[in-house]
Amino acid sequence: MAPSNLVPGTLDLLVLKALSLGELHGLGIARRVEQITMGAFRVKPGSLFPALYRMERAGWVTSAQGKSENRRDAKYYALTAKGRRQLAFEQEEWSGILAALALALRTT
Amino acid sequence: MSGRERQERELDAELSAWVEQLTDEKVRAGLSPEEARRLALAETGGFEQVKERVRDERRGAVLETAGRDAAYALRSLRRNPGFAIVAVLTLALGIGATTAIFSAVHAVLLRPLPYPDADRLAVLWLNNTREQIERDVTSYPNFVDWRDAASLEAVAGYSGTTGDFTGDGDAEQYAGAWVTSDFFRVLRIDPHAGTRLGEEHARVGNDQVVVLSHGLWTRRFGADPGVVGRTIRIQGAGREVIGVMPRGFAYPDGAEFWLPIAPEAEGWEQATTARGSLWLSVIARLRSGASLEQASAELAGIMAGIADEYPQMAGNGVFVEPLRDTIIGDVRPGLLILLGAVAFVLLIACVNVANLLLARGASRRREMAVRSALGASGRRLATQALVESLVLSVVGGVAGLLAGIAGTALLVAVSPADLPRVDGVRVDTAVVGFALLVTLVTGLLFGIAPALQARAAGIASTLREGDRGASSGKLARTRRLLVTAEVALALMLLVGAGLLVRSFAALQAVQPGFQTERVLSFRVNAGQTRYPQPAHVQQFQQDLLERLNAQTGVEAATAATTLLLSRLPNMSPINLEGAPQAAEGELVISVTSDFVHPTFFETLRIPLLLGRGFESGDVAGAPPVVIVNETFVRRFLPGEDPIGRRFTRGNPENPDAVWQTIVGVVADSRRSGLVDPVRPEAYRPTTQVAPRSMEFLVRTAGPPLAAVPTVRALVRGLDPDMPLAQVRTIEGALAEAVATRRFVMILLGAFAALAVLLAAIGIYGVLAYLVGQRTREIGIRIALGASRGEVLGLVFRQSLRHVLPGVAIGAAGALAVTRLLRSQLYGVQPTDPATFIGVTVLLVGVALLATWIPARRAVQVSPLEALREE
Repeated sequence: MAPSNLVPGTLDLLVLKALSLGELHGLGIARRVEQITMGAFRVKPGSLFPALYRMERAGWVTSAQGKSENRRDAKYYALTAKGRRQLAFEQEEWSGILAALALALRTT
Repeated sequence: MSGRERQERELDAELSAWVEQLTDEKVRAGLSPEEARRLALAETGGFEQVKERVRDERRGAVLETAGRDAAYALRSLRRNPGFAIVAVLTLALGIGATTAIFSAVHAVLLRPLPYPDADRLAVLWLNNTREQIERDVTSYPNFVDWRDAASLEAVAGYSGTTGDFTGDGDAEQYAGAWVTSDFFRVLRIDPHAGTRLGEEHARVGNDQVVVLSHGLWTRRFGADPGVVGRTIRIQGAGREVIGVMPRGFAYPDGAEFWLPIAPEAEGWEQATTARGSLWLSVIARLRSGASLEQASAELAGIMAGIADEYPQMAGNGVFVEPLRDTIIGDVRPGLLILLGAVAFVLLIACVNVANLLLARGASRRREMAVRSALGASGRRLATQALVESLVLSVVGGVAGLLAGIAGTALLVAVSPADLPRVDGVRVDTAVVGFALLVTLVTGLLFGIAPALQARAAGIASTLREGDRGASSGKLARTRRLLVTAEVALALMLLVGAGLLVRSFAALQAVQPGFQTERVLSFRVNAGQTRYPQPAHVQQFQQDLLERLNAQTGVEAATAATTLLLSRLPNMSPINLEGAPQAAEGELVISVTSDFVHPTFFETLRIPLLLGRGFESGDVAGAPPVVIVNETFVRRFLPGEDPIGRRFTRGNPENPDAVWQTIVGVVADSRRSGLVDPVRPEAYRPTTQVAPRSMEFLVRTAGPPLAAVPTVRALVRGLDPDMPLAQVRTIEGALAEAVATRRFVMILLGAFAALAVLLAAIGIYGVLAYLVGQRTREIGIRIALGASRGEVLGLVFRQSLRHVLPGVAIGAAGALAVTRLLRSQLYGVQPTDPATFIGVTVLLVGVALLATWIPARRAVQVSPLEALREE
């Protein structure tokens, strides 16, 4: 499967999932999303930063200044308790949707 | 640095970091640094695009939040109808009253005059230092000299008059003006039809013309364009209509027609040549670029030159006043006082709503705590509280605007008849804009305290329960401060209203010095055509009086040239025999002169103090006699026997001079209104000289206006072409003179009452809350044996602790601002102790009454229940 843009609505889920494994900066999130989807999804800054802004406002993630692995200044994002609840909720939702889709695809 | 700027900068840093890290990645993968950077930038895409998308997100969020907050606020208002109604009504009252007063201020004081370049129009008054009249009418020769001022583009004189119109329907009297030829050029008003009055009409032979107002032209002549060029009859004489003025033009004083003054014409000679004969009002247009000060300075120079030649003008100056100030004159201070007062009411309304919101905020502490725990920041909670306040103020503002529209109509209905430009008072865009502004400012004003409270709640809850006591203590303190402020504001308003009420009472107590009750007055004019000889005039007036006296219901009837003097009565100079002559300067004396029927003093119950009244022997041909008032004697003949002294109006050197002999002295009467000083007056009998235009005064047994139809029929029976003018009661005319004061007093009284009511509600609300808070403590006290009196004392002491500082602050504030009321006061000082004490007692009484209800509740606290609570 070639790297594609995101299915609408999945970006939040993927960012939450990426952050659930530990705090990351912007590029780190993009790379982690590529990694956990085996390169199927590629996140562009034009969608990532608005999403991060929205999620920070909603209280799902918090941010703090830090140093990257090669000692550059970077803004690190981490999941809040509220974000974890949101992730659990979205995971459940998507699992249900995926199961239903799989079922639908099989019957054809 | 604002939050938005910070966010922008953070975003920049974040994007740079993104590119750098991407470059690092690619360098590690083996690319050259340059190549790596180029690729990284290409992959990232335009910085601006990314930033714009984040901004979109942010803008959407702000709007969404504000919308959500507003919807939430509306919902919570609906859930709490009691609170909503009280708050909205309070705001509607405050905003409505403010809007109504502003509509009057805007129309009367702020809107420009309806003349081109109206800011260059000025009225030139004679500053009559001798009579201490700053704005006096002037003489025709003075006017001619003033015309020379280079800073004036055009100068015109005018004098009000009345005219009996006959033919073309019923005989009717209208108000009009004599004007000099430049009158319309000064005002820059062109006729609606016909031609403008000009230079040529001031010459004898061309002066028998008239200009009509649009209103008179429409009403009397059916707006017929053919009227221009026709000859109509005014005062029995034919005049050609040369023009009709545009709609709405009615300067001066609602004039309906204008007649040219021809200085050389027969009958004008005396008026246009006597330097000391003061009767002309003067209006001028300043040259463009010339200032009022320049004109004043120049006219002062001209006046000094006049004084050198004519000593009777020595010491007099010219007072140059913008036309707008002349027109709005006396009402400006009154209206500004009302605007200030209504602002106080609005402030009190704000305080009350703030108090209500704080009380509600206290009961929503749990809600705030929960939301704060859910992650809402203090700032977020404060913003939401502010949005709620604004929603409340907008709802109140809409209700207030409706109240304002009703209030404006009411204001116009009760406004005094002589309030200038009152016909322009209406709710227009400017007024609506003002109401909107007031609404927003109000919302922010009463929203501050609740917003701070909400923010504190947010912060407090992060500190958990421990802080609770302290924050509720702070809240109580804020609310008590608001009560103190409210009491202070209400007291200031009450002092102002109290002073005005006392002034008005003092005015009402002034003895006018003549009978005012049950006196009907009307004016008739015996015109030249029908009554060519003085004997005819006298006969007509005598017949009318006899018939009036014969009517049942009429106690007595008399006649005078005028009973009530205008504010600027004609004063003319006299030469008193044996007194230093006019040429020597200082002792030029002027008197108002009136002709009265011999029965005048008796009918109006003006006591004769010395000498005799007019007798049957005082007829035309007999030696001219005169009766003067006390002020005349006090001013000009102090300590002397006035009886038998003579004076003349002409040149005393002239052997043909007519000398008038003083035969009696009557008591002073306040014929020029209750406020103005009494002037020296001279009365001559109509049996010697009979003026054509006379005011008939009828003392009736019953209500005077009921006699009007009888009087009309009587006059018509004598002369069907004789119009009745100025039909009124003397009482009514005197009341009109103080109508503006009365208007200001009533409104200020109403605002003060409103302020006291709002303050009482505020005090009640806060004390009820405080007693509620202390229920447990009070219960314990009662359980420990506190008596009923002790508990009452506790609550009242608490109330007074906030009310009394308010009284003190209010009294100090009132001392500072009542000076502004001075122009409206009469017979009472701005610091009148009785008023201060009286209103303080009243306000404290109301405050104690408002305390009574919560205090009673406190007494009834059951110790058991109080302890069981919580």
